[in-house]
Amino acid sequence: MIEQRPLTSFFSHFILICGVLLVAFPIWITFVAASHDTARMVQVPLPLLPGNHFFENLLEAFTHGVGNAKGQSVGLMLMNSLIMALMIAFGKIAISMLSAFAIVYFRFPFRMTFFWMIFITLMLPVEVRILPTFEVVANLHMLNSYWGLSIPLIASATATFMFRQTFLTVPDELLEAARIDGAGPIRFFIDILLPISRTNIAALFVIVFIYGWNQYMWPLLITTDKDMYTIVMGIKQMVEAVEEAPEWSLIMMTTLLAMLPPVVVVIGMQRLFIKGLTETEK
Amino acid sequence: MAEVILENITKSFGKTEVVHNVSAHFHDGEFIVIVGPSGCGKSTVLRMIAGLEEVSGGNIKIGDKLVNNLEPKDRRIAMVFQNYALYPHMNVYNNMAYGLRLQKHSKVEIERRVQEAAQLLQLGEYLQRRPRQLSGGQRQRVAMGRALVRKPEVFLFDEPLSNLDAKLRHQMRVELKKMHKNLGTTMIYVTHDQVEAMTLADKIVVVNKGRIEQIGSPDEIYNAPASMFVAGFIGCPPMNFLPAQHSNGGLSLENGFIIPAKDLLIPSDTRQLIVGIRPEKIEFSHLQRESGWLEVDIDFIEKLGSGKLLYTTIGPQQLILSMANGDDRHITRGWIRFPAEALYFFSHQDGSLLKVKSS
Amino acid sequence: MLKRVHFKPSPLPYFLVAPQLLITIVFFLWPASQAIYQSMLVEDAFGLSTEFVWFNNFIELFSDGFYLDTLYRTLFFSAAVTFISLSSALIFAALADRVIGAATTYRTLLIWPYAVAPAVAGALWMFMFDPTIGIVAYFLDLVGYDWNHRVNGSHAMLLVILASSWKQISYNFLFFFAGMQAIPKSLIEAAAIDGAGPARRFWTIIFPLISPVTFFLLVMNIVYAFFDTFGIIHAVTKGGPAKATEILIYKVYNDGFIGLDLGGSAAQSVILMIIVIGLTIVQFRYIERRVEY
Repeated sequence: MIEQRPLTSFFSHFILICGVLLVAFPIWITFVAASHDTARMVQVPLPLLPGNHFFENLLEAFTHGVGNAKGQSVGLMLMNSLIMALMIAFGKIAISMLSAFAIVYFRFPFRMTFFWMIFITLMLPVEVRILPTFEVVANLHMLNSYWGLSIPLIASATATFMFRQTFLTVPDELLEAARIDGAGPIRFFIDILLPISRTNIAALFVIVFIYGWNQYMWPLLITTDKDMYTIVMGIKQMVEAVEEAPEWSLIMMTTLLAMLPPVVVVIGMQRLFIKGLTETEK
Repeated sequence: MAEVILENITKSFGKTEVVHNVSAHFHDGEFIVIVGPSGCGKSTVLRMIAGLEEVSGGNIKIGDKLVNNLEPKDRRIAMVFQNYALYPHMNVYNNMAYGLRLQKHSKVEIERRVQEAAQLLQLGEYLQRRPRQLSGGQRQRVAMGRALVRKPEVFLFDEPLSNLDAKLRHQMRVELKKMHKNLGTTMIYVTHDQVEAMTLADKIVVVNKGRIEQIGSPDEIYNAPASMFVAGFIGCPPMNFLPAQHSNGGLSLENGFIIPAKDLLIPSDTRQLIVGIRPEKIEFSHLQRESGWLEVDIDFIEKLGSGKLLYTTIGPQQLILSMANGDDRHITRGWIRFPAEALYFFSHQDGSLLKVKSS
Repeated sequence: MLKRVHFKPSPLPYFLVAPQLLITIVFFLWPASQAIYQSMLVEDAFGLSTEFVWFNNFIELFSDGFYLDTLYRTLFFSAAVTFISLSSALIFAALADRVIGAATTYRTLLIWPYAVAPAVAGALWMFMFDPTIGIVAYFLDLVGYDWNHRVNGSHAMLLVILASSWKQISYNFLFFFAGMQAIPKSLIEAAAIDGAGPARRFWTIIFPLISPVTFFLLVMNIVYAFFDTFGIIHAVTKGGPAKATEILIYKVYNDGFIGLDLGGSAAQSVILMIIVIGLTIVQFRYIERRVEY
């Protein structure tokens, strides 16, 4: 390896540690806020070191929720987020794998038409067609339902492209060997294609799970029933209530809980996460 | 076990026809090698027999059953691929058992067949391994095993040895030949390697540009090639070809040398033709000779260990002589002769073999 | 595009693409076409009758001072977010690429904000900068600076820019870092033998070689700033104070769902669609060209 001057090395570490601290600072503040009682959190200056009310606050968030007037339990919101994220992740993987399978392994009329129809969704993020999509969901009576939360978000060109790419790298001979062994399309898909794509599936799952969990605008629009609130949009409702009841410690506890699942996924499955990110985005 | 009959097979991709009117009759138990340069259509023929490609025209019969519209799995064939096509996520056992499971064989039967194949191929200790944990040669064996357990009537091989190194390739060639001897099943083997064709085949099919050039035993193909293509493709180093013209008393080469032809019975209506001779059939002498011998400069010598190759030129044509070891003097020139009985004559126009007039 | 070998023709592929196609048509193509259609309609004040007005809504938009302000504001906001997050990520990646052994540790410590939802990121930053209680606002007050993003538009803009950039650094870092790690070490060593110091190596070897990554990230960051920052803005400022942080995507939402201006909001949607399509085409052009790289 090339020269490592102690001074430049020290400088590099110094800047990087500053960067890490900068990136982590907001989270630290959140954690500190979540570990003090409500009374402490209205006195200026706020603490910079953790207090000892963390588990109290945790319990409070789960049993009573935040902002008593609005009072949704954090547990319910977490559950809603989990269900939505899982539905989006499984739904997206399922439909895009099937369509990629059809497009790669079959030759049929309108194949390219379908391909372009899927491709064009790349250019239509939910934000730009928000109002008419809302109307469609309303007309289908899917407001305030898990279906309404997840289904409009599960079609995506990127996932289809990723599977298409994966399938194209599978050697043709594998299909031929399977045909000689007597496997039809469905057997081949289940016995061969699915198992050999499993790391790609896992990588995509990580990315889509985070994408689903972090949805904000869409749940904000289509859920009016408190029982359907997701944790990410729930935080927003709490922050709005802060004027009346500044329960910052509970709000920040909830924020922490909202961040936790996706952050754990990213750090715990870093390899899959990076694979997923770099492969779906190109 | 079964014979395989091809009747006027054609194959087109879109508008381009890549296999033209191929007909052949392969007998039960024969080891057939289909050989030709890459892109000649030989793999396509094999894949049509396997049912992986549909025929555009003609009939394929396996054991007097017309199989044109049968799925590969119903043709009672097994195939070994060039890159082995092992299922990467299954262990060796499951790779071999997969097809049997789909055929709904009993567990006991599957176990019996896989163990039998594993023993034959010495794969016993690898049954629990994944393909990526195996060497090239072992993967090759697994691929064979997967074909064996099916107990097919015809084995199909698509360049199965070309991903192996030279030493292993030789070893597997011998084992393949042994396997054929033991099983006695019809085997159809595609390769671009003429050595494999010569050593393995009972019957060679030489294919060029989607057509069959010649079908015959290795000896027939070598000694009586039907065309310049076959003569040039089979044999290493390849046959020498020299353009020549009829002239008084013989055949005049481009450098003016005349091969005495009073005893040659070539059709005199063809003025232009091509003379072919195998490198090992050319006679060579260090000593000056008289009539009928041609003096040449030796450009360089390739030593092969078991023998040597001498390179020279006649006019613009390169000529290769193959000789046994022996005289190791540094040869720079010498005299050569073309024995009349070793000459082949090919048409100047289409390269076909010209019939020698029977006297 | 297609395998050399494939299964026999059968109706099966239609069933396989059907779910995705159905969802695409119902939730993508139909709403998009509706948006285009509605963008040419004008509804009267009571929503009783609509009139087809061709491109009038668009003409009105572009002669509307508020809309143009929003457009410029969005461009400024995107440029700021893109610049801050790209440049800091580039610095971190370049340094992490140099420190052997600890590089992946730094990667782990830097990438996780990607997982934080924009709205949650907004809440974090809002809390830190809360004028009455926020810790940063408190420190600013100590040094004599009066921070209040609730009334001061510039403060509000700065806050959403910081929050948005913070969240995006990890994404950019990851791609820069992966790009740098993919450069063969021998190339760097060759440059070192040629006598190039670390800074020179970075600007003459590493930076040109990761330029495709940079370009890709540039487009992705613009898309992010245009669309994904909705959550941050909605959570932190609601576009205020006095529209100081209202960007295009927020205005679409606001005019459509709060102001109930159907035609105007639809026209804005269409403009956003055109922007996305433009960016996508740019991105694809670049992917095609990248083949030679």
